Amino acid sequence: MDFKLNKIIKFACRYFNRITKLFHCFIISYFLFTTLNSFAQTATATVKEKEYLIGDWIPVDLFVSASSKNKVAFPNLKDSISETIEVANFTPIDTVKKGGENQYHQLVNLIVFDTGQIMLPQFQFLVNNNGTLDSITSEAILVHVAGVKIDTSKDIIPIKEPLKIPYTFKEILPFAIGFVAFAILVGLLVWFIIKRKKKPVPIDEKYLLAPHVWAFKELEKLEKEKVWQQNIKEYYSRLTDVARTYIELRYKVPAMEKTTEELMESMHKGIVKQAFKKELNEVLTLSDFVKFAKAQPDFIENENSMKIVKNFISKTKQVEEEKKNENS
Amino acid sequence: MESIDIKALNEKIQQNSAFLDLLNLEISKSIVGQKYMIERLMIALLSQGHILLEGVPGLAKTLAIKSLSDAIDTKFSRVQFTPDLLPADILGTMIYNQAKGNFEVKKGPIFSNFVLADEINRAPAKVQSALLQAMQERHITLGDSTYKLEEPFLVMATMNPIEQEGTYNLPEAQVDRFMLKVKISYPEFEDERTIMRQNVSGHNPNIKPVISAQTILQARDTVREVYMDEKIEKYILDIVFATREPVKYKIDNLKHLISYGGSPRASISLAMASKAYAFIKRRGYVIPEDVRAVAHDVLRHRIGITYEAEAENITQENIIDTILNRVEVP
Repeated sequence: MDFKLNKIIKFACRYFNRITKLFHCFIISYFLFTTLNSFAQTATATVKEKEYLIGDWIPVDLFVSASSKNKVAFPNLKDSISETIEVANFTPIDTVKKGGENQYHQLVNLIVFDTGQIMLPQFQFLVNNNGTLDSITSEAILVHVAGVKIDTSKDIIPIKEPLKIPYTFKEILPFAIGFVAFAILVGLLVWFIIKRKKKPVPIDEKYLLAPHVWAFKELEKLEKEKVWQQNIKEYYSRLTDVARTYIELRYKVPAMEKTTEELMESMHKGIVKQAFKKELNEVLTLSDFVKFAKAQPDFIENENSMKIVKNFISKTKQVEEEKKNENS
Repeated sequence: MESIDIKALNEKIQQNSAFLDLLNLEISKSIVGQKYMIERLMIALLSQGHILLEGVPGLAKTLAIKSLSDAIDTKFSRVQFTPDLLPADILGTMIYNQAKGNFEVKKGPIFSNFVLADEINRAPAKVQSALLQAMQERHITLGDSTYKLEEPFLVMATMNPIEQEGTYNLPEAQVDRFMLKVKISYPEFEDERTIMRQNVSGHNPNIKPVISAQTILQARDTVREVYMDEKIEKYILDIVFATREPVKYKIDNLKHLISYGGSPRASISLAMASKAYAFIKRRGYVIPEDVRAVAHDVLRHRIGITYEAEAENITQENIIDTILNRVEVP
């Protein structure tokens, strides 16, 4: 019985040792595997120098090495990291494939507005490892930021003038387009004015001819057309219009806008002999009767009216010599 | 087209206008040197219009209309417009008769042939409106009854151009209802001497009725018969249209000076007043002189001037002068 028990115990011990060994092997291989795996994901942040001047750009090289199967997200950089550290700029992420892994590079320029020993912070990167999100961080970097040395032995120098930067084509372009558009507009306007000026304005014949020449021409036309035989009102209207227009052109009196009475009054100042004026007044008054009171003068009166108007014009016409004397 | 015998019409007018001499003679007994005002009163009376007088106090405005009324043998009433006047004070009202136990009509001063509305701009708008409505419609409604105003019916309103404080200016729409707006000025030196002597001597001429109201009504019919040629009609329309569209008549300088021009009522009034003026001059037809003679009185209250015109001291008179000097006479 004891022999059997010892045998069972020995057997159990042997199996237990084996299980323990296997467990140890498993533990060792697990640690070995995970260590190897962690070696594949590394993140560093490095600077070339350890000393910088306040306000200088501090180029920080961010480097991540990870399996090509994994996706890596770099930190989302803003304008500033802390109150004294600002991000000046950063380059796009540069990826290099090496065997089964990818190496990522990004250059971040920082500016430190403080002096002394400054600890640049850690940068955190996210790695998507087959659905598992791991985060790896770089180590913080210690740099020394020196202030500007002031030479108190020298005078204070004024602030430097802003640097003159040459204009780029992009900046000039809107002004150039505006100038060209303005020039086109001005050109069009000038062209329009010139074209308009060139358009001949019809001038009434009465302003081209001497007043008496024009008046005789019109009276002749009136006679030829035999107007009074057809429409007595029109005959007297045209006859008085010719007489009035002649007076307007000859004596510069606005005769067309005056009534017979007003016209006679305006011609009193010795510019026309009383006899001519009296005769003309008779014609104009008769004309008013025909035009406004349906008067029907006989043919002798009609012909006589024409004669009186012709006589008035021929006796009062301004001859060329007179005109020259007047001008001189 | 209707045929008109001008010769016969002239003769008729000679006959029907004979009363004018009698009337002028009688009125001249009390009125000295206001021939222009009397002539305009006659124009308004003959063309069924009303007249708005503008002049300083003491120019015999009241006396003129009173004398005219006396000489025509018609009823005259005078209303002094004040800020507390009510429409009923002019038109009349219904009064309860305790003895009879019913309401009785008490007719106002408007129930006269000649009404003098003194200083019309001193009364508020509702009173002005009541008067102007009666002027236009020529009948009054009191209670349930409508009363026709007796013809001839003439309202002569006065306005004092000096005092503006505490006055209610007549709106453009209301003032348009007056056919004429006449501006009267001081009498001549010799005329004023006669006025002074008459008044100092205490001689008060007694105006007697020389014609009847019926004569005026007949004369009104004759005035309507006065011949107006198409050319004169066109001339009237040209003048009125030039107040509305001066640019069309090549009077560009008036464009910025006129805010509104004459209404169609201006054309009607100008035509009627021209006919009445021709009648007074014993003519059976209208000539351009007639139109020009009344143009100022018909148009001056119908043209609105802009602030620019006011700033440049340009008045309605200047605008009318310019138009008359630029519109071609037929």
